[in-house]
Amino acid sequence: MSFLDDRKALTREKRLSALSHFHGTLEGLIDETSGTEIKQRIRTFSQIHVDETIYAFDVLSKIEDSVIIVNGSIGCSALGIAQDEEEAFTWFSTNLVERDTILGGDDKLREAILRANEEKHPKAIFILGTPVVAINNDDINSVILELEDEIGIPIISIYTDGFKSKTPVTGYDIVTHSLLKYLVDKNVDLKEDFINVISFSENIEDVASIAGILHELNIKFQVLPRFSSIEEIRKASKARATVVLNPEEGDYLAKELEEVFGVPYIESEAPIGFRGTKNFLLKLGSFLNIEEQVVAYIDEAEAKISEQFVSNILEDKRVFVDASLSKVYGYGRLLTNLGGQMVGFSSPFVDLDNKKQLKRFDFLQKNAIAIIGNGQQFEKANELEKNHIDIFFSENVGNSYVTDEGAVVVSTKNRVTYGFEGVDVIIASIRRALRLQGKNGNVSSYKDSFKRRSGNWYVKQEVS
Amino acid sequence: MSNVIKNPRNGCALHGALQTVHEIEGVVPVVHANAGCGVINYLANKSVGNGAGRYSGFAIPGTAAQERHVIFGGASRLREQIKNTIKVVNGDLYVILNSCESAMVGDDVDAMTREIVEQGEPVVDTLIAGFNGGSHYGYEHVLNDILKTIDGVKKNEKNTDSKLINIFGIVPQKDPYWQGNLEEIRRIFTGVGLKVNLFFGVYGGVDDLVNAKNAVASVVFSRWGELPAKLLKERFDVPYITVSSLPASARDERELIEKISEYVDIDQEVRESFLNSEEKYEKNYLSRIRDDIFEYDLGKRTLIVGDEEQVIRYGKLFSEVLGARVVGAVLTDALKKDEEHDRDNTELLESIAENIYITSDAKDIEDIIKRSRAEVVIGSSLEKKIAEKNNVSLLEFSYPIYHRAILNQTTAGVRGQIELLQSYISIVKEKQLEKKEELIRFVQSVKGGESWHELSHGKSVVRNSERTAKLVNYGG
Repeated sequence: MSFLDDRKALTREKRLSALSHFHGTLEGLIDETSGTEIKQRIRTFSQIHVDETIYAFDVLSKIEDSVIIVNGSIGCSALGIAQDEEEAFTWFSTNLVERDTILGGDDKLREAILRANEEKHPKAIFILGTPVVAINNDDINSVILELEDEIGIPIISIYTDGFKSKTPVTGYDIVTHSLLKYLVDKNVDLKEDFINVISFSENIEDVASIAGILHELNIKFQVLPRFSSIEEIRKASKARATVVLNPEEGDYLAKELEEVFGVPYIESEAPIGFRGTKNFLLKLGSFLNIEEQVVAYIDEAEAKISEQFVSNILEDKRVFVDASLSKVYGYGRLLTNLGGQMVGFSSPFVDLDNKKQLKRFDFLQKNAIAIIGNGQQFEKANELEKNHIDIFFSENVGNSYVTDEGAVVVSTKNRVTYGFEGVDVIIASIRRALRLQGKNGNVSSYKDSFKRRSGNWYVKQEVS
Repeated sequence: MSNVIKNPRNGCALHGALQTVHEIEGVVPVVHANAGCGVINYLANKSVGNGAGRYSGFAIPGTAAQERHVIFGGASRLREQIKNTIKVVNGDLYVILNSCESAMVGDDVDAMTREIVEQGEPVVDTLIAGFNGGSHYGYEHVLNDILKTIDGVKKNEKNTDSKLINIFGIVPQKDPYWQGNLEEIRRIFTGVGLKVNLFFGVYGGVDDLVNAKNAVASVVFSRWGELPAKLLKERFDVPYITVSSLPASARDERELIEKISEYVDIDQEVRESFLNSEEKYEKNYLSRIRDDIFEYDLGKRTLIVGDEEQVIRYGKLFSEVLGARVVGAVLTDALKKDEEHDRDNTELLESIAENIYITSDAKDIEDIIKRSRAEVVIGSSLEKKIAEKNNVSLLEFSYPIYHRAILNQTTAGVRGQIELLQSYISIVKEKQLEKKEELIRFVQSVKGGESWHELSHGKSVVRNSERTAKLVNYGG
């Protein structure tokens, strides 16, 4: 059943029963998520974390020919500074002040739309919702209706609010929903010779790594919605097929493209590690009937990697993986093959879709640590110290606290980790990290009395 | 001018309050907002390269308010969060920060704070919401609110220290060089035998907040520090002086110390010895760049974009030392109507710059740069593309500055002065080189045939063909 008939995307909690509050063991998590619905939990102590507004802005800022209007107080628009790109994109703030929270900010929104159109001549304008507008219940749609005909380009409301979902990937779903509903070409009779590669959170290094492989295999493709243009988004419905770089982020877009626009979805896994990349390419090759070519490419890549692969660089090292659930398998497998003992993982959420990943974690013991939460460094600090973890492998930023707990960080930021190239880079990063073991530490930010307790002390069953 | 802002740069009052609080060693902020409000500020500031404080970013405790807290109120969630923060996180002082949501919902943040203070815990709060103002406003108000109530949670008898000075007006993060500038101010004051309460950075901390009332005077280095200074005057009779900007020359340093001398006893010998040494330092470097000033014609048409304090400091320096003509000053932090501050820099600004603008809107700034016909723009990374489009040299010295690491580098005092000057000269020289390369390409293109290379700073030309030799001879 397509969700496109709905005015806006459902939150991950409503659509897939997403859980973002859990701290226990892998076995406990499998048990907790085994039913058709996942019970919600809460944290009675929490640390701030990304929300769907941040994720939505991040994707929109990578779409060419568009302008983002952050409809809220001036602080929300600091999202634009966070992209640290010198005017690669343009954003406006409606700059709502106290008076607007009482009288409404419609006039400012109208003014922002007209300015955006006049100054940038974009092909689409996105209006990003923020808490102030959501609480105020400003009527965004009547402003859009009034101006869309006048300026002649799509004005698209992104229904984020910052507090209705505890799962930030809801931001990707909200963007997806709006793009499909208001931009993607509804005329799907003629398919063209290219595939859609769905990317939401990948950095340019990872996208380039996969793009390089596809180019070598002579596969025509476009990347969506990150690193795309309005025209490319429009013709997503004309693609031969869709692949997704991180299934738990891009499934929604791929499935809707299949169901509503008849674009086949080649379901696969994140192209991480040798095995993940191989599976990803074989599925693609099989669909495109170029298996032989793909197998030859993989063989060549395998030979190159085997030359340099040292299987014991993590011998005697206790490893913890901090990544989205769809990637834990790829990273975990690779780190285990390098001789590491993986003692646990943390991921931002588990839902009815991505919970199937948990069954694949055969390299983990049943009592391995499982933390589900966005950020929540205090819980990780608790486990890091208790379990004497050596390597903290993370795709998140701001991990300096890890060194205070005696471990060293291997970050996936600012480097490629996808594709065959990623294997080499990860190994090189581990080597560098090992040289830093035991260095740069400081006193812990967390009280000893807390760290002596169970790490799940503040995760409680939600009482409705 | 419009209320809508293109590419705004400064964040909101919550952001200002948050970055102020987490840059004070020992202070733990607790944000009562939805999950992402504080993160936005962290991600924005992360792009600037000042490094991360212990309780910044994802380490910040916060209520991560959800829909239910918006509908039914979030006070009980806040109570729970404060209580548990004290149990989990090491800190000497916990500061509760309000947000747009909790202000709109009407949560009684103050009551929750009082409740925990009654249990003897060191907790204070501020009630400003994001939409109350920009981040500079947040800096000033959170300091004011902390100083207003810290006496109730950190007992300390007033005991004036005749050498201690409070330093206000250097806004963490919003001055990209705040760490180095605080250290430079400390160097100057300790140089004449004084002590400073910096509050932030390497030498700051909770003790500075507790001891602020014991200072003999406060110095406010921009309009954004008047409020806490006035509070200390009213409550604890700590006098304050306001100056328009941080010092950026030996003369500025002397004027500053002379002003301070009205309130604090400074040993004449120590003072003169230090200031003489500052003058000697400055004179040495300034004399070394005199050739450059003349040969590179450094008195360029210059436009400055940044906080009012920075505009004054940079403008005075470049016009006085290099003879730069400041054709415009764009104040990105100033209020169009400022009823909260006594400081009025209008006359001073008019004496420095030919035109004064108050805006942080990228379109306004682009138009101003275009109209100004400036040769050098001192601004932020947000001006980079505009500068490129208009073939103007850009010196990035105001927030935000992307893709750099800025830790203890200073742009204040005589050391900061030299840093600023060498950057200015460097960028003019780079431009000059570009021009020369362009001229070489031009000559090559009009003469046709083989290439030639210019060597030794244009003094001689190595000719690798007879034809080129003729061309040069004819030109001479």
